[in-house]
Amino acid sequence: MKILIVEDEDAILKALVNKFIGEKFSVLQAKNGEEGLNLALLNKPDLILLDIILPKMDGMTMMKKLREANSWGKSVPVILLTNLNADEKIMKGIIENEPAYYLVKTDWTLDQVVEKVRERLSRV
Amino acid sequence: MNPVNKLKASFIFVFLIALFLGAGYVWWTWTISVKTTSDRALLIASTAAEAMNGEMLQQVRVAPEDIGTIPYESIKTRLVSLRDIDASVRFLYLYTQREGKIYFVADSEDPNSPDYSPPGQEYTEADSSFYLPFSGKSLITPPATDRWGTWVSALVPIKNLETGQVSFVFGMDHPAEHWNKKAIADSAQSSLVVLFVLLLIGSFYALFKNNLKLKESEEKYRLIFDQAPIGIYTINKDGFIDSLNPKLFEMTGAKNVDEVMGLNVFSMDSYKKVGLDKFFRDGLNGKDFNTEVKYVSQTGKKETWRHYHGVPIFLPDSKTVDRLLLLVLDITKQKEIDKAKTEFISLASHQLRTPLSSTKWILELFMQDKDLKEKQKERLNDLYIVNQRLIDLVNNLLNVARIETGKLVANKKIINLADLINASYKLCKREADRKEQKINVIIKTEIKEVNLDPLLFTEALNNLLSNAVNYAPANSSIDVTVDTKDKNYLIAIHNTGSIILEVDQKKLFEKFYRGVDAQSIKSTGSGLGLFIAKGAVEANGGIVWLESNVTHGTTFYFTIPMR
Repeated sequence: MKILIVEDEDAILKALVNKFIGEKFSVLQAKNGEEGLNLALLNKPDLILLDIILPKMDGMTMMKKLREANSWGKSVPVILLTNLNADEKIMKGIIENEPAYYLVKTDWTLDQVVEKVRERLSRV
Repeated sequence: MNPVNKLKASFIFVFLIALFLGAGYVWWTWTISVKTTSDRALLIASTAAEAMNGEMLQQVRVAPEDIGTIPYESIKTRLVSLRDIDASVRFLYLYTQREGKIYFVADSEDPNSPDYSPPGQEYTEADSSFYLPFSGKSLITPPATDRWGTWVSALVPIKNLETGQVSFVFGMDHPAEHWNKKAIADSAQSSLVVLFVLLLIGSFYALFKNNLKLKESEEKYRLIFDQAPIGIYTINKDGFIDSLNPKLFEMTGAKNVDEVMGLNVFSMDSYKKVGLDKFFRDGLNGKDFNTEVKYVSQTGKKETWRHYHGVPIFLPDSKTVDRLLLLVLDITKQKEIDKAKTEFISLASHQLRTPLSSTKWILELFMQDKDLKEKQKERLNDLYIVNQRLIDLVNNLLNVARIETGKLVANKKIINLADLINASYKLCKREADRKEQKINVIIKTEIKEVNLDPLLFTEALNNLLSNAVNYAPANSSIDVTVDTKDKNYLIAIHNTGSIILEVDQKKLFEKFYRGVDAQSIKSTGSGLGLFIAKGAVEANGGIVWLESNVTHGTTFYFTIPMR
């Protein structure tokens, strides 16, 4: 299974990448929204783990562009993995772009994140 | 010099002048009165003396042999009849001087009377003034005492018509105690007049002073009222605005006072927005009123905040409400600062979460390393728990910020209430087991699915239940009861152990407030849990309260609407 992790914080990115490689995933990584969007469209991963606050292009914008890009982009599952509490603006984006989950990082362990990813991928 | 002192000085000045003039007037009355009496007495005496003069007088010898002679008896008769005419005179007499001594010629007394002096008898008690008439002058003597009493005497010389020599003196004795009677009466009368005038001046002073003080006091409070930097107005018992200060006037933006003055609180929508009609009802029952109201300018760009603080004003009996006082404060600035502060907390908390989540996940990876020794795993686990506590604290701060900015909006969905309660029970059970406490979940009603924000509900219940576990003593039991009340589910979390003091009960739901006992039982509490629980319950449309006493223990209640 191929996943894309878009995260600007090195320590978090490293932890996630290590974890998912350890769990036998094939992992792509990007440190900003622009890079993430390009990688996604090019490699078509099975799932995207997306942070919201990102340099160059934020996560919500990247998700919107992805949904608008093509039929693959429209349906690829996205898990928002962030430290923000969902305010009205984010909620609106969530409703419009239907990500799979909205996870606040501090509330979840890595094991639980992996579990959520597997659960979503098993649904097809 | 202040006006009251000025008035006092003028009063003292006027009073002293009046006193001085009054004293002069009394003295003058006395003098005139005494002079009138003397003049009258002298006039009578002179006239009488004229009547005594003549041939007869030249023929008396001034010796006992005179008795029975025609001249003596004729003079005596005249003296007696004169005495009978003037009641104010006691004695009338004639005397003469021989070789420096005074001898009676005749008197007005009956020969049988003990007061009688026979002719030729020496008047041994005569003082120096009795000799003065021989120089030709009439006079009134000062009061003098002899064997008959104390007298003021009118003495008139009688001149020999041929030689012009003074050979006799005619005397009339007035009892001294009656002499000044008229003068005393006159002076008393004038004294009364003076006293009356002084009293009048005094009364005027008192009146002026009171008036002045009243004016000063009125002026003082008027200045305070007019220049107070907060809006003030009063509402009378009929609901009409009956006074207001310039600041309020400025705040309302009215063009003139009449636009606000005399208005009825029920008559305007803007007052309903503030809730003045409610204040009016409660205020008359003696209740205070506090509310904060946001106003948005017509362009929608400018926000202003006002705090309305209403208090009933009682009559001096402190029972009857006389009118209502309303203070209006501009709190826009405070609100802005408060907002900035809350936004800062929110931002800082979000930023703090990034390193915290990194730490959390790195530790998690680290702990799964198979090469670790048992001891190392234990240390890492401790670190993980500490980090988790920091995460909880930051989350609490974020929740507070969200409650304060009104961002805590319930994201409602249909959910099974029993599942949520069960999840909270599981979360708290571990700590309860450690303290050998028993948690009983008692469902007293049929639970249907409810429409609420599950995260907020769990936040509230977790807070209340973990509080019960933390503050109840070991080996006690905690009851979580679910029941219905009106159209709500009522959830009660009860423990018999910890009692919350009455002073703490009111403030317990305030942020950062920790009860007196709470601090000694568990020193690590943030003082945010109940504030967040309250915010969470209210965002879900419920209310939260508590009951705590020695007999029943402590129960926290909260409601959630059934639909």
